[in-house]
Amino acid sequence: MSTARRLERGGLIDRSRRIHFKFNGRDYSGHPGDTLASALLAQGVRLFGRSFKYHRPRGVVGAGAEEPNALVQVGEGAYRTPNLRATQVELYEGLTARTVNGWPNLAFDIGAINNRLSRLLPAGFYYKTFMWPRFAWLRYEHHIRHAAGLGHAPSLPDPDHYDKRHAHCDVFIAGAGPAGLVAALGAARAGARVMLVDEQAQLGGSLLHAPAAIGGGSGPEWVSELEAELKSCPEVTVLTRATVSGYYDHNFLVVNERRTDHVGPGQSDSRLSRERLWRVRAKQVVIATGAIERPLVFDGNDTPGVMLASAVSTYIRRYALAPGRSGAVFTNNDSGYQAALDMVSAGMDVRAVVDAREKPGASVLAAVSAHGIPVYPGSVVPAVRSGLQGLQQIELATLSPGGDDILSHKGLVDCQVLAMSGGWSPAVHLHSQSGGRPRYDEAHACFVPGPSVQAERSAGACRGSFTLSACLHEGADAGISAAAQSGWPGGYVDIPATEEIDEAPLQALWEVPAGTLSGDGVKKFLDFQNDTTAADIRLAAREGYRSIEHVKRYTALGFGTDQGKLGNINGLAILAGALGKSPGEVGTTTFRPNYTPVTFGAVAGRTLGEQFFDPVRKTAIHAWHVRRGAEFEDVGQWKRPWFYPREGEDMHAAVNRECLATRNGVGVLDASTLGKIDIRGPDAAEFLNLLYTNNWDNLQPGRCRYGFMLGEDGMVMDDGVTSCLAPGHYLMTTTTGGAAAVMAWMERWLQTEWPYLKVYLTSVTDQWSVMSVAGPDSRTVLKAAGCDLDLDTGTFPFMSMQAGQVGGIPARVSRISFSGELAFEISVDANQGLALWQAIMTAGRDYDITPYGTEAMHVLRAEKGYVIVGQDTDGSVTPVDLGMDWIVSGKKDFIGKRSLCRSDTDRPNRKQLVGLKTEDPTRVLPEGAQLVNAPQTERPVPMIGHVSSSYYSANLGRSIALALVKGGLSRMGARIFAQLMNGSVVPATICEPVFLDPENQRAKS
Amino acid sequence: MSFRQSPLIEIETPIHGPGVAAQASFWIQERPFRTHINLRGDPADAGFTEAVAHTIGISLPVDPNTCASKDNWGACWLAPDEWLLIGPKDQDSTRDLGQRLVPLHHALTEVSGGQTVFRVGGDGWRDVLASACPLDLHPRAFRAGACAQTVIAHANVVLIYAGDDPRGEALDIVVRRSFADHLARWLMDAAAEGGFEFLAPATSS
Repeated sequence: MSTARRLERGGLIDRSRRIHFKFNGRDYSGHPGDTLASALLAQGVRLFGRSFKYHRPRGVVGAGAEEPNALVQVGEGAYRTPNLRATQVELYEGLTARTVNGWPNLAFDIGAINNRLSRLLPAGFYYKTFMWPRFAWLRYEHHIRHAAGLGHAPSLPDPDHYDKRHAHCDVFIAGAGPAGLVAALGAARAGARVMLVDEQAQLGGSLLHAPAAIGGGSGPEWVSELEAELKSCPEVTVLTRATVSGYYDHNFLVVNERRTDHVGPGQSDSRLSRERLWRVRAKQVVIATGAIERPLVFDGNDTPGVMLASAVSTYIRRYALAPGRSGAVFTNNDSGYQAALDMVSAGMDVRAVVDAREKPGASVLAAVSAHGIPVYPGSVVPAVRSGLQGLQQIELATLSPGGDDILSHKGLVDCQVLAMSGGWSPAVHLHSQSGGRPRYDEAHACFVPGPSVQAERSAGACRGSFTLSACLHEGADAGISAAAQSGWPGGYVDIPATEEIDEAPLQALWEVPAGTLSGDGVKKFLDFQNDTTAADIRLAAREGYRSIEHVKRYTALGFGTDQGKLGNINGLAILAGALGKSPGEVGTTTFRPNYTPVTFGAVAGRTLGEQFFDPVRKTAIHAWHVRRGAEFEDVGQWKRPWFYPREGEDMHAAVNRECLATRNGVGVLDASTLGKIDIRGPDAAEFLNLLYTNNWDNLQPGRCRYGFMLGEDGMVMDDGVTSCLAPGHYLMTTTTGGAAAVMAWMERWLQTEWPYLKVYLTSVTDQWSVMSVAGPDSRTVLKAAGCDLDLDTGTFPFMSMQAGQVGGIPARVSRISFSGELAFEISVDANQGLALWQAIMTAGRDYDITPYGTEAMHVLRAEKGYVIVGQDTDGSVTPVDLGMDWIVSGKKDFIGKRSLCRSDTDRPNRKQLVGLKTEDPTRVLPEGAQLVNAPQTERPVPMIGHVSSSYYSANLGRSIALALVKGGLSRMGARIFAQLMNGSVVPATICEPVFLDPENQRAKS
Repeated sequence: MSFRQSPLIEIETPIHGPGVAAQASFWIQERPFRTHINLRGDPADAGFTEAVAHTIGISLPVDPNTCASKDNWGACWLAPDEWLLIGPKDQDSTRDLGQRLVPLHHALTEVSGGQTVFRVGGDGWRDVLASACPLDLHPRAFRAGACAQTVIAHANVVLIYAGDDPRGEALDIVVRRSFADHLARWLMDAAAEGGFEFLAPATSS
């Protein structure tokens, strides 16, 4: 066991309560305020996982979002969440967690053999080795991925729910450390609408573990005061446990708020969402995301016990634990010394402060010397020695002035914890996502935000200003000016007094030469999660890679779930060294959303399932269809009755019954979903002429006409019947699915091409409930329903419409038919749609009136050879291909006309619409079946067309099909074959597409 | 006269949906069967605007996203030549307006059966709408006299600030009939955490 322990006092944990949890099957406990990482560290756990490629044992390196090693999957079954950072998982009673890597178990990992074979596994190894033979990659990949681990997504449906919030603010502040807090205060006092967002459970950022006094009190005390004032401002929204995961164009930011994870699965009210994705539109943005400490790059820097200096301080001061009995510091800057002081305060034996600089800062040197800690200037830790529980000894050596060589070895120092600090990398992620290009700051050896592209500014450590007073001043300025620029001047903040020390400059140290402890397998890690080493970067440079983006992809630097938060800057600096450039010339890789992983649940929100994935549009008669037991079909967003099965009927029986009833008696269809557009104005007829292929000048009031609309390419786009209601007033119907697109198409032409046309369009799709009463008995039923119109064919001919009343309800009645039967389409105000439907059903009871669904409608229209746009056409079919050249006027212009004269649309042997009769009349061809001239032709078999519609027709007692066949119109009677997926071949004969009543006697009767 | 049926036929009100703290910070109530008219015409034509002013007493708003009201009628700006008029169940005004407009190029289209109005209110109405409406409805951005065309949960809606409700600040949501059931269910689901009351329809005009 290691000798880590919980401290008697201090920290921000609640020692009065104990929380029990399991890690890798063993029982542990912690306190409120602990993270999974801190609770485990306090109980001596050092091993948190195995590395991705070499399966080396790994411990905790950091204390926050940057943690690359301590990845765990939390929860069981449906609640399992993989790849969480143990440093960010808050404890709750009963939490269960497992490491995501390590097979068969963490202590004995078969994959660790890779560590011994590591010289055979250089950068690009998998690319180079497993790409041959190419077809085998899928098999290799399976095993490689299994070995690589990284958790398992749950296979059960997610029991939690998620939601979204749209939000708008004047000033958005990312990060509630010292800079963000004062920025929020300054903007809030100006009266601006402010959002302050922080990923931690508490506000305060670095103040939660910083030793500095602020405003005469401790950091946490000062934070509480500010928090109280901010929360009292009505226009301030404060979100904690919320990560700004992305910053997009137009100052649009996405925030992922975790609302219930900290209380555990199933513990919160089921009405609470687990996560909430905020979609924020901000006038001004203040980025105050702080900085992430950089590791130093030396042999064995991944050994459990080697941690970031700031993480050591955080564990001691915030979580009140001593991570070991003895420690040392390895740094190239003054900030690392704080870890030495903190380790002393935790009662640890601090054996050395190893400083790569010749001249450490005077203040920090004095402070640690006062505790009798030996300081080694101009020195490095080139290597370490480890045992089963991690770090045991560090090697000391002096560095040559250039930093490239070891001058002399100074022996070994025993210690269990090495706090390393290679300087700080400002968290420029959001600045970069906003479109900014980070710039290299030579003095601090880090990238800082470049010029702003959007309305954003950075403040504090994320801008490269690392002292507390600079953070406070910049934060206040940023918040006040952001508020002023969004129209809220007058903000103010009294900057509290802080204690500052004079800092000596950092000395860039990108890579430490190997030491005497190093054997053949020197490994200086850059990216802990992907096992990318300094040698890999140099190999990539030797192999000719120059761009950091290419090197990233070749070496996997920054590819992990941590996205290179720790290692990328070191990696690009080493590449710069290998290329003889400066880090600024190499530049950074692109920082992309998301900052930390976001669950799919949060992305989906409540837009899920039958109910909410897409709006369900219902007609006024929907409830009746449901009561009647209809099966529904989705047509666009609409629910349409598909068929109405009776007790014991399957779909075929129901459809056959509905078709026979409609042809022989009377059927009724809810046709309300068809698109309807009211067209009004003196130029309406001219407009219709331009939209439709046929002529509309001579359509008289009270008459209806069928039309085709083409795209500019001459292909059929939509169809429908348009009625003339009065001079200059028309009602157009469109397909159900095409309604919105047709309306937009018409408006586009009116507004952009023909603004001189006096025409107004109004969508009335929802205004009218429409039912089609069809069949030989339809006239009788309509009369019985109390229609006050003379329905005789002499006064009310086919393709005409009249206004009247049906059962006392004002109605438009049209004699139009998609079934080919005598039919009356009745349209009424949708508020009375259900009333009319019920009146029709009552009136038709004596005639056994049969409601029919879309499937019967499809069969009935196919019997008549009527096409459905989008089923029998696919965007490559002209009216001529459909054998409907009669509908194309040669006397006027219309959209798509010129395209009909192109050589391709004009050529013979295009696919044309024909009917098909299978030789076996009971055999129904599958829709989409490919057609060939001869089944035994050598491969590749020439395809001559496909089946577009196919049904069993109960009226005809046989199967029928529509098909698009090359040159089909001139091949009537030809024998062709449908080649089916199962290998069978079905012979069929080409025929006219009209199977029933070619003279149209029924519809006109 | 046969019966009329609101689009919310499948939702039986009132519904009491208490939130996590047993509260109801949101209420919703349908205002069915009002007269809805989509009106298009040229606002520069004095004959057009006067016809409207004469019949329903409203000077048509010409500033984008504003509305005007008088007595029981309201007029929302939808486009430079398009308005939504909502008024009482009164066929006379519609007929009268239609007759006055006959000589002009216009389009008066009755859409009373094609859409309905949800009135929503309560302390939490902005939060509930923010779950699925991208528009800023903060009092500084959307106040008395404002209307807007936007989406809620993928349904197109017109929002009208309702300053005259005796229960306090409220909002009218005009939604197309076929989307009404979807939107009502979405709003109840979105309001579940804070609690809601789905009141029986307001039958008076």
